[in-house]
Amino acid sequence: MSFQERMIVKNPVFSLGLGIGPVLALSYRFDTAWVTGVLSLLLILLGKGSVRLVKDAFPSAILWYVRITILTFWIALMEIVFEAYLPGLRDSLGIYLPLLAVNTFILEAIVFGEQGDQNEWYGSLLLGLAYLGTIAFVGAFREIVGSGTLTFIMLPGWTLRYVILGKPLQPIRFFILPAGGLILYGYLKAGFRLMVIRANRGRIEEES
Amino acid sequence: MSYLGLLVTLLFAQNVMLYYFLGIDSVEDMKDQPSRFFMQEGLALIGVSSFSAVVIQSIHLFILLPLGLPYLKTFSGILIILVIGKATNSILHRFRISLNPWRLVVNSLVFGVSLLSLHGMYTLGESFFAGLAAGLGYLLALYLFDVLQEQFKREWVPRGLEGVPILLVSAGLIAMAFYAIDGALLKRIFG
Repeated sequence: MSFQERMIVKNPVFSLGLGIGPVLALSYRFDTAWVTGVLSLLLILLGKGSVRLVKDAFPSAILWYVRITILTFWIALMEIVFEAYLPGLRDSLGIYLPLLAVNTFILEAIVFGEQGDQNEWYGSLLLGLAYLGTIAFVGAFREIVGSGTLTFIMLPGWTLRYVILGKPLQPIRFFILPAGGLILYGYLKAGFRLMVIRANRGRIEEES
Repeated sequence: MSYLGLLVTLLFAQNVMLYYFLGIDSVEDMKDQPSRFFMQEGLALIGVSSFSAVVIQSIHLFILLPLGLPYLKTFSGILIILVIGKATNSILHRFRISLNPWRLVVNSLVFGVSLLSLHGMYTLGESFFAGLAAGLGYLLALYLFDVLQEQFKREWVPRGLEGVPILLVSAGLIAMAFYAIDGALLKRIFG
């Protein structure tokens, strides 16, 4: 499966409906959105590697417990590092950083291809990258339209932010509110569905 | 905030599903499951979220903080939820109610409410009421989604928006209506 196909036809958020919570809650600013995407990708790779190391030591009935516990260990470690070096970003992520431990998308991506698929690492990596791309896209859109800016990074004493919408254009603050996120998500999901329908129709016409 | 204030805030002004997006993944499964299933799950989640919020807050206040181990709160919280989720499923099984135990554990509502209690530094009573209010808020949102879904079956909806997209757009409008119940106003009314 190519990145393009994973991003549009089988998008983890809009097509499969996985990990919607962080996409809606943390995409009000671009920096929190892409950081969440990168953390999710990192957690998928770390979680998958760690689970692979200890998988054979546990019966399959309790493997889900093991996966969540391992994921929580990595998140707790990340929390300690963030608390020490990036407290501002830790506050921006709020309750949603520890909540990644029960994120359905990350758990699905860790399990992806465990049934003997040769490309399981590639598949998980692709899922993580598609999630990163999706959350970054939604974050950029919501911040540009809602605040008129694009914040790449916000650290104590150093902020990289560009003003995109200047006068006479005014940002629509509704889009950075949770309600705006829900409505935007609904329309984006509909847009992705139409793209998939068109792609499938084109493929059927080509085959016939 | 008073218990009543907490209840109204998490039920309407900051509804767990429409404001914090906890448990929003359930909306994606609504088309595949009967509404009775979600009501059963919602009732189970009220119990699990209020009980786990109290237990996690107790462990944080009486064990982790005195020992100087606050950074273990995420780890201990997840372990407690895994145990409570499994125990609840066993209890429900005795009453011949079968729920997927993973739906109770992986539903972000349960851990999310505990985290809200920890971040808000709630007392044990407040944590319990936060869990209760969050569960009721989740049930309210699910009920609204169910009513909307039934209504949209009878109405014309553009093809792309059929199903979950139109539900989410409507949910956004409901969330906007809930913003009318201002948090500061509630604090003034309920203390």
